[in-house]
Amino acid sequence: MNQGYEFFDHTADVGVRLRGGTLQALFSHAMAALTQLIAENSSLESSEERVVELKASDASTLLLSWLQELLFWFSTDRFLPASCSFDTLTPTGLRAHVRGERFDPARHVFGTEVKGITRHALDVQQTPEGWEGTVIFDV
Amino acid sequence: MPRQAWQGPLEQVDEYRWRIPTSYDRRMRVPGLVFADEKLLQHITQDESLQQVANVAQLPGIVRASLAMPDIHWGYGFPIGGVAATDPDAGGVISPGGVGFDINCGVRCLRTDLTVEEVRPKLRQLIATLFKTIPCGVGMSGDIRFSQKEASRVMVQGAKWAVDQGYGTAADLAHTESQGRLDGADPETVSERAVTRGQGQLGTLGSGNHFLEVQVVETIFDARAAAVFGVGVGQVVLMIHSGSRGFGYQICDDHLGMMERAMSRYGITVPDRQLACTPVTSEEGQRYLGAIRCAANFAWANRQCLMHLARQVFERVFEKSWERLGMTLLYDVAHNIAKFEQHRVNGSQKTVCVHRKGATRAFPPGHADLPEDYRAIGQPVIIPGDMGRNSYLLVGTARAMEETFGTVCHGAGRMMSRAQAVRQASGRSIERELEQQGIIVMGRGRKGIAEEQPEAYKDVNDVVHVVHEAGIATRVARMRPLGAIKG
Repeated sequence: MNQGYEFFDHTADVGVRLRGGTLQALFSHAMAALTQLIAENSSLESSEERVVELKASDASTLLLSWLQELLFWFSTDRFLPASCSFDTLTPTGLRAHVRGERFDPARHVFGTEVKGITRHALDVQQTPEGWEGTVIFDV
Repeated sequence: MPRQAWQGPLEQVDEYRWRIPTSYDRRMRVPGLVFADEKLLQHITQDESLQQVANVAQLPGIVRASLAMPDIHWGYGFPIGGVAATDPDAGGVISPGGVGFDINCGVRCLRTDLTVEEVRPKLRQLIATLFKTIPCGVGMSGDIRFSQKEASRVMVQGAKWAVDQGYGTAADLAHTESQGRLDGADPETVSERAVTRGQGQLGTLGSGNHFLEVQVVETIFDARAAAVFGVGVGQVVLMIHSGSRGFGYQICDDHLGMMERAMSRYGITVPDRQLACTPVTSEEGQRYLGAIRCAANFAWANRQCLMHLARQVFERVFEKSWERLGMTLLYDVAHNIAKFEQHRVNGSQKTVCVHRKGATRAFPPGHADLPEDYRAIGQPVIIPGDMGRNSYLLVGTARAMEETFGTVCHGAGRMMSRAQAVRQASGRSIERELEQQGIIVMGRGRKGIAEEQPEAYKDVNDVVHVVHEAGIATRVARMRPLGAIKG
C-alpha cells in the first residue's frame, strides 16, 4: 500500500483500505482513491482551489462527509480534486483547501461513475502506527 | 475487510429453496429463504451475501422471510437480489439500504419489427450512432434540460412529464410499471443538492453496469405469451438499463443520514449502518417515501427520454419512423424500489412495504395493476444477462405472489469483483473477443468493458433455470446480444 490506499475485492462495488501516519494523511489518501476511481491515472492540474468546512460525530462519519462533499463537487461541476491541505482536522471536524481542476474528456481518462459512499463496513481507527480506515464505494 | 465465506446454517427445503433458520442469530425475526440450486450456491456462499440476508431478517416489522433471489451477491445493507416486506401496522420499517443509491434502477425492453437479417448489415453504424447520440460514461451530461420549476413536475409526473414534452406516447406509459409514476411524490422532501445533481442527467445512461443493448430473439418458450408481447424468433429487440442518476444517489444519501441520526429515538439498532431505518409511519419514514417516489419518477422519466433518443437513432439508421419500425415499449420494470402493495400475510390481505434491492416485480395473470392487454398473460419480467450470453423475458406467476411478494430475480448477478475482472482481462481485448462472436460493444472506458466482461457474471441461464423451476416466474423468450453501448 505505497500510496496509502489499496482497493480490495467486493463483488458488486469497490472497497478501499486506507492507512496514514496522521488523520490528515488518511483523509488525503481517501481523496486520492476517489479521484483514481473516477478518472484513473489522469494527470490533474491544481488550477482551482475550494475551501470546505465539515463537522461530524466521529472520525468515520467525518470521512463519509468528506468523500460525499468531494463526490458532490464532481457530480455537479466535474471538479476533480488533485491535492488538499488542512487548516484543522480532528475526528469531529475539518477545514480544508482542495485544489484540482474540472474533468475534461479530451485530456482525462474516463474511469467509473461513483454513485455514493456507503456506510457498509465504514470504519476509521487509530492504531499504534497512525490511522486506518475502510470505505466501500457504490459504483 | 476481505470476503468471508458463509459459515452459518443452510437448510435445504427443496431442490431450489434453502432456509437460514432464525436459530442462526436470535435477533432474526423471520427466517431467510434463498432461491438457488447447488451449482449457484457454490458462488453464493463465497461472499457476505448470506450474512446480509440474515441481517435483513432483523429489521423491525419484517414479515414472512428475508428473501434472496438466485442472482444474489454481496451488496451494502441488503444483499443485491434481496427482498423484504414490512408491515407498517406492526412497527414495520422502511430502509434506504433496501432500495440502494440508484433508486428505481430498472430495465425497459422495446420490441421492433426488424429482423436480424435487416439489422446485421447496419449493426456497426447503428451501435456507433447510438453511442454518439446517447450520453454515457462518467461526467457526461445530456441535452434534455429542465428549469427549477420544471424539476418538480419531473418528480411528480415521472414518465408522463417526458411524454408531455414529446418524448414518446401514452401507450408507453401503459406498458410501464406503475404507469411510470408513483403517487405521493413530495418535492418538498428533496434537497437542493439532489436537484442540482439531477441537472443535465435526464436522458443519460450513466456508467458501471448500465447499458443499452440490441438483441435478437433466439428461442421462444411460451408461444401464447410471446404472441401477446409481440416477439418471435429472429426479431430484434432493444433493452435499456439505467436509473435515477445523481438525483436518486443524493436522495439516498440525504435520507440515510437523517434516518441514522433518528434511529435511536425509535429504539432501533441494526447490524450494519447501511441498514439504517425508521418506522414507515415515522416522520423520517414518510419524508424518505416522499423523496424516493420523486426519484422513482425521475428514473422513469430518464428511461423514457433514453428510449426516445434510441428511437430517433433507429429512425435515422433505418430511414423509417419508429412507429413503422414497430418500436413499441414491451414493458419497463423497476428493480431497486420500495412500494406499498397488497399481499396475503398470515392468512389475511395486508398492505405491506415491499423492498426490492436488485429484484423485479413479477405479478401474475389477472392482477389489477397489469395493463389490459397483458392481464390474461401476466406481467412481463425483463432479465438482462451479461453482454456475451443471453437475456430473458419471463412472466410473473401466482406462486410468486404467494411466496415472494410477487418478486423474482433481476439479472445474472455478479460473480467476480471488478478488480478481479480487470485482472482477468489483462492482455486481452474484450471488445475484440466479443466482436469475434459477432457482438459489437462500444464504451467510454477500457476498464468499464473489462469490468463488465461476460465471465464476471453468473450464467443468466442458470439463474433463470432456478426461478422457472421454482415456479416464481416462467420463461417466455430468450435473446442473445448483437451489440451494446456501455458507460
